[in-house]
Amino acid sequence: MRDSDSILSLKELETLCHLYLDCRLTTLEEKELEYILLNPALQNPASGISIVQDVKRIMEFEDREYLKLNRSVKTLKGRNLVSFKLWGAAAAVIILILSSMLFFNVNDRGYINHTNNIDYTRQTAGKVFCEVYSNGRQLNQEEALEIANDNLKRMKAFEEKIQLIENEEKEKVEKFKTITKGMP
Amino acid sequence: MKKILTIIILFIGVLKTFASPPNLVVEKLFDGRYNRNPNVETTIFINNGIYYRGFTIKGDAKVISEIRAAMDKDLERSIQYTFHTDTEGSYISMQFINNEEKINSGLQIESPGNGFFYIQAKETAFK
Repeated sequence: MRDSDSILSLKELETLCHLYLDCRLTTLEEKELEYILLNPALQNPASGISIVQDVKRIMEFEDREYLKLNRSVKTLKGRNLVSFKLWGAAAAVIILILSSMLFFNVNDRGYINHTNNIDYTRQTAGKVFCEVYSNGRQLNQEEALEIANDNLKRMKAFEEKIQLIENEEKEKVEKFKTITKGMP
Repeated sequence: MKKILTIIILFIGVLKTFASPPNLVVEKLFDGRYNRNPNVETTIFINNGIYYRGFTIKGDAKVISEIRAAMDKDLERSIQYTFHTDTEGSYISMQFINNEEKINSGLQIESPGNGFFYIQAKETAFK
């Protein structure tokens, strides 16, 4: 293709337009043709050749479509980024809530379960953990251990009583089975 | 991202399934709510891997009914339940299994508003 500074005859311009429509121009040549067609002498449709006007319209259309496409791709990229950030934030919040619930074991009333406040490592050396509240105040270790021992004795007595009750119930069932064995 | 989220949630779920605390309703009563109640004596005792928690209630029918309500909620999960009444009072005993360990829980109501409640097992049952 010749330089845009060179003077083109209408015939040559028409040939170039035909080549453009046949897609036989390179991208660079197409751009040069576009530049040439911007010449004010070719702006008036009445003065121009019909094929030149057609090519101009096609070029304008292509430019518009290119711009539209470019804009939509940019918007899509932006949206993807926003959605990615949103999902990321949601994931982080969910993980944080779940892990804190696992760690603190928060019950349905919003209290932190007391068992988690106990430092289990204190037990490893065979030490005793004892915490007693009586009359609304925490007792010292000595008093607490005394009460804890009483409680354990009481619990043992309770379990013995339950065992006795269960044995009595079993005996009754066995007796009933023996009595009703021969019955039709 | 959705896939990653699902995997993370499933992973946390699986982690929670292995060696999870029993989360009994009666356990929640030991969150410290009765520590300042003058009618309730709260005891938490751990020794040689045995974990004991108990209340001694004197003249507080409301606390007794709260404990009973909590025990009723845990009834479905119990492997054994015993109820007995005699001249010494009413006895409710429940047993649970968690982390392959047995958890014992009992309530003795001596008279209206007066009672004794406990939950006891090996420490591993509650971890």
